[in-house]
Amino acid sequence: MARMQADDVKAFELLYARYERPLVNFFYQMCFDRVASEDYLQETFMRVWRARATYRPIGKVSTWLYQIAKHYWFNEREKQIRRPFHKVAGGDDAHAQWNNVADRTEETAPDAVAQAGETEAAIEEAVSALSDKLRSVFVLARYRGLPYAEISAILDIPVGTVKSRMSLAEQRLRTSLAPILQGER
Amino acid sequence: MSPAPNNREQNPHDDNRADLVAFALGQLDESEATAVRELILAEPELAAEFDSIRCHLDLHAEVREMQPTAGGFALLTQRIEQEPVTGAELRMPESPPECPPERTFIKRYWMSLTAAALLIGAIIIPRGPSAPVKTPNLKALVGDLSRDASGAYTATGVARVTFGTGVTVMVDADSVLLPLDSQRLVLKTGRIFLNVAPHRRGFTVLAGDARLTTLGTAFSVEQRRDGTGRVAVETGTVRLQRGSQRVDVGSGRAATWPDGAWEGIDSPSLPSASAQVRWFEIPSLSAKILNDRRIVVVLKNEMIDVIRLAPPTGGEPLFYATVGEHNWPHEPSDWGYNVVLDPGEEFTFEMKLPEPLKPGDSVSIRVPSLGMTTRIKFTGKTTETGR
Repeated sequence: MARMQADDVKAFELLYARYERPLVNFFYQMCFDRVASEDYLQETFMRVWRARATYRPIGKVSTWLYQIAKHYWFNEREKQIRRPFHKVAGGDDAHAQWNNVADRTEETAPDAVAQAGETEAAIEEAVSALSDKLRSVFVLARYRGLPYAEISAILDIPVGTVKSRMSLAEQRLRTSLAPILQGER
Repeated sequence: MSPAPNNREQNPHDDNRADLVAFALGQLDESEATAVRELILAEPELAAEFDSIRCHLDLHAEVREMQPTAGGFALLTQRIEQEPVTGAELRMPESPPECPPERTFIKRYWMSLTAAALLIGAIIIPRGPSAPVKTPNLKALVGDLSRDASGAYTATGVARVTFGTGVTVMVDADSVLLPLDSQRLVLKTGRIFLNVAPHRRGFTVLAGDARLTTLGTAFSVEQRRDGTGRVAVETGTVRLQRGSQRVDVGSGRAATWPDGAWEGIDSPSLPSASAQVRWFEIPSLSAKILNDRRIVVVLKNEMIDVIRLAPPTGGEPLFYATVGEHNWPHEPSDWGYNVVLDPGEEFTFEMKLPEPLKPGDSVSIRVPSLGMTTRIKFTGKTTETGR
């Protein structure tokens, strides 16, 4: 990090190589959209580069990176909700297409339907249905394997809240996925 | 077992279950884990609940991960280099081992990514055997194609980029583009037309802040110097994305950015829309001097569609050879009306000049109906123009 703060591109590249996959998969498991996840990854590392001078070695690098990723994710979600992309000259269907596009992400993602197995698709659908708060905790804890203490620092919430959100997310997912779980038994 | 303070979502009755989930995930420290273990052993209901939780969490082992696309860092550094903010300029490390002083890291990076195919004039340099990805071939069909220090190509005339992945890109005059890898291309300014085989989804064009991903299609992209841009789709679908917003632009439609306007370019059958989308219907022209009187001219359809040459009207010849002030028309004897050249087809004929050439003479071969000219200099020996 010190080398990167001194504008060493090679150090930045090493950081990118080390965290590219965890971060892109954090985004992917939040939205199950490959194209969007790649973009979010790019934007996250753009912010990492811009903010390199502000990094202080008081915590783990991964926590700092996930914090930036989390901020970006929640900001983008906020924008999507508040400012749907529109302004269309003619064509109701076209107008609808612009505005509904965020909602159709999973539906239209080329890889989300064609390639997914039934179980994977059901899991993705169930996870996507969770609220952002529950989903972010679940993804970081179960899929990214981060300790609760780190998730607490990333999301800026008490460890107890991480714990209860994880419990709630698990409960809701278990209910959603009950048909599959029963089928497996 | 620890309480959960400051938790608005917390239900006191959920404490046990929260600990069971944390235990299943290995999130508890030794003393907490021991306490939960004892609780599970003591209470069959909790044991059943724990089994259920563990079974459910195991199910998530099937969730997919994605592999990031190669070349992401190169794209990132290119964006940083272009960004005029907060001292984000990339600088070389203090002690570069073998880097020539005039090169930045970024330039070196790009050279390693795109070095395998470099066009000089009309010559294609084949890809090196060790190229990590299929590097695109670039070829000037009219005019020149030059490469700047950042690796971006500028086409003064029409050029063609062929990716080894079933993607052909026609580049309009005065366009600047940067191929990143076999799946991505940056259009800095100008206009391109892409033909992507239906099974080749996912080819991406970055234009301004717009990202266009093909879903098997033929379409054009224009990026203007003022930052605005436009995509017009002839067939198939293109996904247009700007930040987190996206839209699928279908056949017969066009969209612009940054205003997000949407328009139908024409009816779905696209007779006139096709004219908007396809602006590059020209063949390539080359010539070879055999001796001081004979010149072989080759007109080849390098495009992806049939070329239809307008028939000469009013006695206008199809070809001219100009040497100094002399302007000699030429009508190939086997050249008919409504000439059609299929993709890849070429038409070759020989011109015989009424006067001999002298070494140093420059000959221009013109095709007025196509607005094309190729020039060739007679050195006294056989000479050939580039295409």
